[in-house]
Amino acid sequence: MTEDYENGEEHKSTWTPILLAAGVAIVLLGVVIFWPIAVAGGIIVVAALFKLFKDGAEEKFAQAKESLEEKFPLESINKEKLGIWVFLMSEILIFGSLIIAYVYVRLSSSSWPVASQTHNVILGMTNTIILLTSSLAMVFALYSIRAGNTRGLRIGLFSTFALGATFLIIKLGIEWPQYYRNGFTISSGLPGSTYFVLTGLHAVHVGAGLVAVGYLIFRSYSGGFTSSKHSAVVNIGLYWHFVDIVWMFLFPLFYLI
Amino acid sequence: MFGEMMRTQLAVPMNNFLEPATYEQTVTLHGLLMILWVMTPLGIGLANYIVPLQIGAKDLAFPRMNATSYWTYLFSGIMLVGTVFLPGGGPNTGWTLYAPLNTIQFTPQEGMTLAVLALLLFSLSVTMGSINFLTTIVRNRAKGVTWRRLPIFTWSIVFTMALALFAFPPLAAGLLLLSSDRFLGTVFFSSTQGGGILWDELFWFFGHPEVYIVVFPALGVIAEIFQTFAKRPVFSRTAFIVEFAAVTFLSMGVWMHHMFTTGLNYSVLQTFSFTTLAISIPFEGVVLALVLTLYKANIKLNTPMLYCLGAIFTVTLGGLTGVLQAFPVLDYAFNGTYFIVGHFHYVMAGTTLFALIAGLYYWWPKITKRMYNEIYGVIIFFIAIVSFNVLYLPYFFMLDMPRRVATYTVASGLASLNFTATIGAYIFGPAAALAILNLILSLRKPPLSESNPWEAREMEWTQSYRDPATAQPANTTENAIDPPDDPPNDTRSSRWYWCRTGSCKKNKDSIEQRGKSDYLQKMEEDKN
Repeated sequence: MTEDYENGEEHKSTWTPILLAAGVAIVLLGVVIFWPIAVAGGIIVVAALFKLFKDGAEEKFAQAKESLEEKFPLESINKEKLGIWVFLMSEILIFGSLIIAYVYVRLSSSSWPVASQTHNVILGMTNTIILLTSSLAMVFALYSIRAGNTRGLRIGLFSTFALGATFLIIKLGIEWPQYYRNGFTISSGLPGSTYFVLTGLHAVHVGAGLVAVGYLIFRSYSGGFTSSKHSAVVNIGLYWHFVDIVWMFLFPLFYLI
Repeated sequence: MFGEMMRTQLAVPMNNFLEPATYEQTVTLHGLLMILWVMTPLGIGLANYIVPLQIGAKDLAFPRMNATSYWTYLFSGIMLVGTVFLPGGGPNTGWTLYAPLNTIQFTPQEGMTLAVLALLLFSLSVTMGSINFLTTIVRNRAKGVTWRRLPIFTWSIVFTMALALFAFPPLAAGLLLLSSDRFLGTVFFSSTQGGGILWDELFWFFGHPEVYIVVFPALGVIAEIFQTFAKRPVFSRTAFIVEFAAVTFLSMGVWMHHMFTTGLNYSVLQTFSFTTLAISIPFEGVVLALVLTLYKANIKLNTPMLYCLGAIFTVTLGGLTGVLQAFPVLDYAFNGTYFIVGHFHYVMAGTTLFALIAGLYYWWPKITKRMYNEIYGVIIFFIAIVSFNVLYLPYFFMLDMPRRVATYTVASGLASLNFTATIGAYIFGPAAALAILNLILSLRKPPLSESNPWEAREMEWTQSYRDPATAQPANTTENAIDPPDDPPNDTRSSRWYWCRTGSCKKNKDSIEQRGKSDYLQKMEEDKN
């Protein structure tokens, strides 16, 4: 791959980024104008992502070995991991802004319903425990593959996936319908708006995390990971823990105080 | 283009060239497109070519993500411009999209919703770009390119991208809340508890750093060009970079000066007035260092250099008029007038556009191996700088004219100033187009024989890594992984122009010669 690149030969999946970007744009266009367009865009996005993952799995990790200046401060961190950290920084900013917006509207409101009246604390607590356990399973998966134990990796990943899915089922399947029956909806005022938008965005992140974990499971079966080559597990693990930590902020903010 | 339409409308009082409703859309699209879709990516686009060369990397760390970022940017731009063709028209709220005007109650047209989503897509694109650049610059520097030796332009991109990383997510958060207001029926911006101030906070937390996101690459370009054409390093290089860092840091703490007139309490006003004055100190430091770089230097006045001098002029005028507004009292007086419009056009349009055109001219021989026509370049520059001032200088005298209003009365006495400005606009627009045309026409010329026509000493000129003709075979790269004892002149390492290591004697000698500028020589002659 290195030499291809230097000889100016075509990079793998040149068209995928265009497809991906166009797909996202078409989805947004469709959402505004006419929803079937959005469906078409969604298909393009999924196809592009699939192609991207496939290329990623097929690449031989023959990245150009450049002689790099790496004295300070990140000797042992590869670029993917650094990229993930920087990405998580931007995520922190998004969630941070939203949480600050929530605190702002809550403080400037003269009255705000008591959390236990509108929220089901038991379900929230259950979900907290489930999500924390899923992080533990992720760590288990990582430690297994570090020791070269592919079976342990799979068990860990499957548990993570199952726990994450349970979190979403409890949230979207049980908790939210309950709130809607009680008249606590997204358009019922600021308490509802803040709750559903913030935890909704968090749920979207959990969903994306599930897709990523599913990709890890898929690759663990095609022999993608060894004890020395498993950076994807580390990076997606980082993301998963981040989503977990966000919930650690959202849970007390919405359910407890 | 939208700008020209507006100036046409404003040329004479009570004009009917544009309907007021169309004028509002024109103002909004002009603002959004120029600030976000033109100025921001112009610097980043240059960086995309130059930064890898300056740090000796093959490419950005994630080339595929880079492509995705570009295409996302392109499609989001198409989406935004496309809104004008929708029934009901495009966004008409001004580029700040203030709440509650941005809610579905006041702007029910689909074009507005689509514009919000286009902005969301754009901030996604910029976030991808900033992740990519930061990772690249931290992780993919060639051996020898230490932080101390990092070229100034790359430093400016580091700060730009750090700011983008911090500024765009809050905007995205605000846009998420706004789109959920418009789609899902939430009440963030229509309620009195959230409403306008919530949007203001989120928007300006992005909005002020955005100014620096636009200006920093421009300053980086100016520094590079001054170094080359004045044949000396930028004045007090370390302090220069520290001042850059200080501006970056402080720029995240001044956003409320855009909200002085929203009824903030007194202590907040004081704090943000103070931070705004504080940021002007390192910023003036940056500009001063640039000017001192030229002091008694032997300057070559080529087109890029001229554009940079123009940019320094506009940034000084724009910056000074900005400092005035740090005082809340004056801010009340200037709020929403053409004085403000003049101020930010000098900073953003003047400085950034001139500097980035300078950057294009400067790196054009590097990118295309063609030299543009110098005489045309100089002539066009003088037309541009004069017409720019004819266009925007009158704005500072239009204190009584409110922004974003489609027309004015004869009695206001603003007709002559407006007419002057419109004449300036008619000349400035074509001049900017001609400046680009001059570059494009050079593509028909035969390639240059020399690879470094400016005799610049920065790494992107001295290393010909990317040239297909002289590209090193792959095994050279392999050998460079573990050089025996880090030879300072190895092909991939930065041969630094100041040669702190003292290992490249040739450059050191020439620095000593350069040190003996006319001034010193004259002193010696006087002594004799």
